[in-house]
Amino acid sequence: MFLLRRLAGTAVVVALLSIGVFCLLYLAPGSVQQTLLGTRPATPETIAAIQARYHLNDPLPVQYLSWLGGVLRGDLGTSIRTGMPVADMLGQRLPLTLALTGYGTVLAVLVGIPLGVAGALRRGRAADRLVVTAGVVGLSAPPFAVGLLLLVVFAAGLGWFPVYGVGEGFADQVLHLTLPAVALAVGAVGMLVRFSRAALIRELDQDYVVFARARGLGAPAVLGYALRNSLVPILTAAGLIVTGMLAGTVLVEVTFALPGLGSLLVDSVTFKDVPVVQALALLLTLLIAAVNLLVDVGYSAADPRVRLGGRPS
Amino acid sequence: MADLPDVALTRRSLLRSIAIVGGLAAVPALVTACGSDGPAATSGDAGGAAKSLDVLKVALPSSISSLDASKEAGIMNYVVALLCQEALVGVGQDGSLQPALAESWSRKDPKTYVYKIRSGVTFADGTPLTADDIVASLDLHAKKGSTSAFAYAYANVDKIEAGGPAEVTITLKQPDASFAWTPSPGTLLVTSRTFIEATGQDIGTPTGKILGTGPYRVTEFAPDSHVTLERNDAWWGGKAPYRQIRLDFIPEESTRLLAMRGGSVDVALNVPAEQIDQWKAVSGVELKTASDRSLVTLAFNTAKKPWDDIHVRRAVAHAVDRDGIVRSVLRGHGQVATTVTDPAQWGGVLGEAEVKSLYESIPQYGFDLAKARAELAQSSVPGGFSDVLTYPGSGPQLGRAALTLAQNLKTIGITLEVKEVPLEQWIAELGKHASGVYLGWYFATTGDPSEYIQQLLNGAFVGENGSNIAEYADDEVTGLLDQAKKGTDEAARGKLLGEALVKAAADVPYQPLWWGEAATAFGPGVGAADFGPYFFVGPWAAKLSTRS
Repeated sequence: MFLLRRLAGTAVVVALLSIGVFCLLYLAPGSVQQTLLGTRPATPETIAAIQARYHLNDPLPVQYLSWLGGVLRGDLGTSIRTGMPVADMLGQRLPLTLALTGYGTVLAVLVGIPLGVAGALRRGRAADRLVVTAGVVGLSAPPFAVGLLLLVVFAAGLGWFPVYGVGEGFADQVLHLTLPAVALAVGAVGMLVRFSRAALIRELDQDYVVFARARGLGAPAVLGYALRNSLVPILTAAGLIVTGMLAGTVLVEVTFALPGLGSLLVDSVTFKDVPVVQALALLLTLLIAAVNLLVDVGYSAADPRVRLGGRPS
Repeated sequence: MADLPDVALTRRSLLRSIAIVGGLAAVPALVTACGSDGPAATSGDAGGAAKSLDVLKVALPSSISSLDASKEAGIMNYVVALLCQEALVGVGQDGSLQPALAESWSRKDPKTYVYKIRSGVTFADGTPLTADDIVASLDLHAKKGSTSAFAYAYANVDKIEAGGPAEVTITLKQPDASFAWTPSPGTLLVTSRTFIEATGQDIGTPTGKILGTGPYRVTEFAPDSHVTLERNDAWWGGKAPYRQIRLDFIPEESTRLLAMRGGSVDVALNVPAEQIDQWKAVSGVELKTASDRSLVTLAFNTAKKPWDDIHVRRAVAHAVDRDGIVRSVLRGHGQVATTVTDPAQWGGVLGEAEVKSLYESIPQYGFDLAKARAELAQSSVPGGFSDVLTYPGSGPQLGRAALTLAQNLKTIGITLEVKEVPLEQWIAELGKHASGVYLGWYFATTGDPSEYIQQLLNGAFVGENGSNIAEYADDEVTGLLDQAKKGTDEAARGKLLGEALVKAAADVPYQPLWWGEAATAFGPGVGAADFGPYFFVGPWAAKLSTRS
């Protein structure tokens, strides 16, 4: 029931978004035939041939419906810019973006939450202030600049990592993706530190913690209770981080010369390559919907009071 | 009271988190150790001289969308395609036409060109080159309804016929002397008929790739990442020095510089002018600059108010400090353009002395704000006016030049708003001919002096989508240019073109700013002997050598 409702909601969002993106691209400056031909001279015949080939002169609703018809039949269309089937293009780039986002999220969680917990436990002391300051710095550092800094230090200076590219074979790919993932994770760490620290501090001030301590419960057990109760805000932050990283990949991919979805989106939008932009919008919406769904499922696992699709508790 | 357990907890959890962080940091180090003897050769560390002769690693500043230059005719598309594909005629280092796939050619009469095809040439797939393949390659652009970006060059073609297995005859509708340049690499890349029929719409994509007769063939194409080329040992021109070429697309300038510093790149194209000193500082790196045959020019829309007033155009022309722009914006890596055509493009048409005297006779509007003010006072808008000038985001130097102009114009009462727009939008605006003033930025496709002159000044190209963005239609100039097209005598043609340039300059439809230069960085161990403006117009990697 819950899943069905969520799916219906997502479908409505996707449909509205596809119409919106379609119209915006139509209104955006530039024209496909001009971009294809560049600043060279063009004969009217060539322009007419290009317009006919890509149906550029059809009315907007007709263009949209013919695209929609293709998608409903499982055909995402062919890219105007590259001449490749859109599904193939996305298929080639999706794994990299997913790997980068996943790697970045894992790094952010592994670093951010322990630091946040440490800050909460040593509230007000030097260690805490250090953690909070580091969090603010991380949060406000643009991933693009962090990427360059990492390149200068770890790739050019120390020579530990390659400067750019994807690499071949699993180990080499992990190595190539480490610096980009760190660049993405830095901002996320800052956010996680703030959320987990704030959530844990609130829990540690609760009566049940004082009571548990008074009963002589061991410190790890007390922390366990407090942590579990602060999981809901942390999960929320994690969800935001994953979706934020999907957007952040655009700049990081450019810095590290990685062929992911971000660079594809930028190229396709400026080119007005409608089939690719539409498919990307669709894909990203679905990814974000999936992440949000996972977070919601996580809520109910972390806190039994939260029921999926049930009455307000 | 609760302090003590807290401290213990903190310390333990802190230690735990430190252990996690430490563990993470250690993982990549381990991976490095494992990976170094693995498949690192393609993307790895600074190789020795012996290793780098095996694989040449080239960094390109932007990705290409298609390997087929007739689908996307950007500079980088040619850099890749010309390693694999050739044309009927090539371009020599002096800018003259040279035999390539055509052993020889002749202009039988003003409308007929006959090409004799070189024998013993094979495509990279082993099949022999025939006249029929040439006809099929030409037809890609010349046939009716072609969507090729080269189609404009073939608009005047009447018939293309194979006269036997080794001869191709091209007949034009109207005589055109500059057609000799059409079957050069700028607007023709030869492939085989079988390949065209088998690959169809997939030509240029990662699955279809391209096929040619050049020194290399494409083995892998990953847009936004890289292209890998393998040597074609059967190339008729000999054996190219590198077994494999890997061209990586690295859009971020600083990343490219770091890659060269780290030794993971051997050659880097289009090094930005403001970074040249940093590149020079990398040990063993040799930086070579040459004209890139590009032109940046202000274009005034002579069909739009107030730019239809010659005094306004003269006033703005006088307000441009071209020497200052070349000195400060381009840091000297460019040349002040005194007209649209670079003096180096007249090879084979006019002699050096004639070019010199021609250029001295072209009227100039030098930087002089007093004159600018005086011209504006005589114009239809003596109190000044305001307009917008856009430039493409991929050309920040154009923007900086435009800003210095806007600054100068402000002092004489003209407000020029300088706006950056995406490349695609800028191209579309150039095509519309709706603005009053433009920044034109062109790269020559041929080495023919008439290319820019015809496209920018011939009255036949005014109107939407025309290349004459100044809407300049002077009967006398157009007459001279049409006559130049018909001529068969090169010297007479050069004279007509020169007359047109002088005549048009007096009307100031354009104020040319500079002829561009491109810098290429060659890493340790790579040498390029005869580097010049035409270095990349041809199988360039075959001309590289080792450098100690």
